[in-house]
Amino acid sequence: MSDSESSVVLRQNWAQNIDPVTKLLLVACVLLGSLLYKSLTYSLVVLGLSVFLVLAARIQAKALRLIEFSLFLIATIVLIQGLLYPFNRTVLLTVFHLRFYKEGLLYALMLSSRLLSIIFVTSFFIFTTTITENATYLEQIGVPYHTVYVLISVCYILPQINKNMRHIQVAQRARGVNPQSNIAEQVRAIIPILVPLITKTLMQSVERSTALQLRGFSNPNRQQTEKLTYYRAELAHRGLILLAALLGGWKIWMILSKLV
Amino acid sequence: MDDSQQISLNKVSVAYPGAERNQLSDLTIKTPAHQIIGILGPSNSGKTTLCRLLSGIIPQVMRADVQGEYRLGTLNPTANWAEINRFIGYVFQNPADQLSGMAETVATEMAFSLVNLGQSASAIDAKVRALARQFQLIDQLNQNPATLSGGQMQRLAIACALVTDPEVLIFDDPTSQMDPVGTSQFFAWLKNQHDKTIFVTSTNVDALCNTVDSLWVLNAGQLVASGTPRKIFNQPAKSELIPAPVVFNLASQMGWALPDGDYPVTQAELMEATGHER
Repeated sequence: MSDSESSVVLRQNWAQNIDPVTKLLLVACVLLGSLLYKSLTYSLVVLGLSVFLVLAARIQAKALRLIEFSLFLIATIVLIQGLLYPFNRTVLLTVFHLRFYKEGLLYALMLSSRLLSIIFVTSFFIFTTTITENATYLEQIGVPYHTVYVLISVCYILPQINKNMRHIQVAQRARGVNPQSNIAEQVRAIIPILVPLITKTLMQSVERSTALQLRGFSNPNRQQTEKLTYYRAELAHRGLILLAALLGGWKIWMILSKLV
Repeated sequence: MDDSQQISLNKVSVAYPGAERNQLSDLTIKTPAHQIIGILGPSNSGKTTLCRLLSGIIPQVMRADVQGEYRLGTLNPTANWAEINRFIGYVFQNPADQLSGMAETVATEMAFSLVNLGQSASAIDAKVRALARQFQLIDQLNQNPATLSGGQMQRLAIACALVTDPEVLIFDDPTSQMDPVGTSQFFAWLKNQHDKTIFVTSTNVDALCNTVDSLWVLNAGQLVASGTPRKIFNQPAKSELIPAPVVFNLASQMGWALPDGDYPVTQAELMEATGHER
């Protein structure tokens, strides 16, 4: 069989050999740690590990695009905390008569590190797994295919709406209806197309549902032929669950020891 | 011929909920199975509704008020709904709507119906490859279906419908997005399909006349003509609803009639009328 005829997709990236649940547990651990520990050192260490994860998985370009959305939020955090953090004592720098304090900026750095860690580790899950892989995995662990499809179809509806909206907007622009040269015009352009947009998307969903039924979607004999195998999935699950328990347990211990 | 080898519709009417008029009205026809039937008619004449009815989509998936009786040989489209893909292959007008959306590659998309039937991996692989070769999709097997061109996607939709080797095939305008070469390849392939009952709607009258055994002409939900393409276009009160094929127009203007006085509607008949051997 020639390579061009091969229907087997080989996993080229090590990150694809880690199962989706392990990646989700990793996200859960980072989230839990960020919520429980307000330490700058801890946040920076976790951020360093998250960055390493992203670089090692070679998804830095995609992850950076995801960060673009949070830059405004980070800038706001730095501005507010640098100026108005309640424990501000030491002036670090002055910009246009605005005094930024060391304490507030360090606090902003910790908050930003936590936010970036969560984004990086979430992007590790998003960009190294596919919707199909998640669907196959869920089916493999015993979730009924109907349920899997309902869960996964949510992932398809939003891109479908986005695609339909772009089609309608391109058609509008081609007819000179709305030039959409600025953001206000772009937002205004969405309102009149909302009803046809939702109707079209719903009709597409009905057509797809019909096609699926014709293709034997509800056949009880369905048998998944593809068996996904991952690198030490069970060990990773146990390890990460233990880590989550340790993070929670250590926090409880610290609270209790202060009380006693 | 006994009834089990007949396609029969007896006073069939279909009305969608809330619609002012019937989408199909009093359709009555009896014709042999295992032939290619072309369905022609202007827009909103009921072609797609008829395809949906014959495939069991109406009333199994889409709600509609269905009156009358219909049967496709021994097959009842609404029975064994879970395994409908084993008996009926359906190609939608818009091929993108037919894809499962769950497959990352053309190969897994094609395998979807077979996986649902619980077939083995080796059997699935063999069938998928054979069809991919047949429909020139072998180089696209590892490609994402969403990245295919309109024509390729339509070929994929056809391959997906054929993968279970169904007894009945229903094509709802299957070449609407294909280029002329793809269209001509599709109809050449269709012409060679024997021992299957095939329904095909298309706006390509010339290709239909060259391919089908009989034509059903619909207008406003009613069956206004049926029979061989030659009979339909040669009848005295021929319908103005559909344009005549190029061959028929040329032959009638040139006076090239067949021995029985009819004008040809296919290329083979034109050769015969002009006294040329192929």
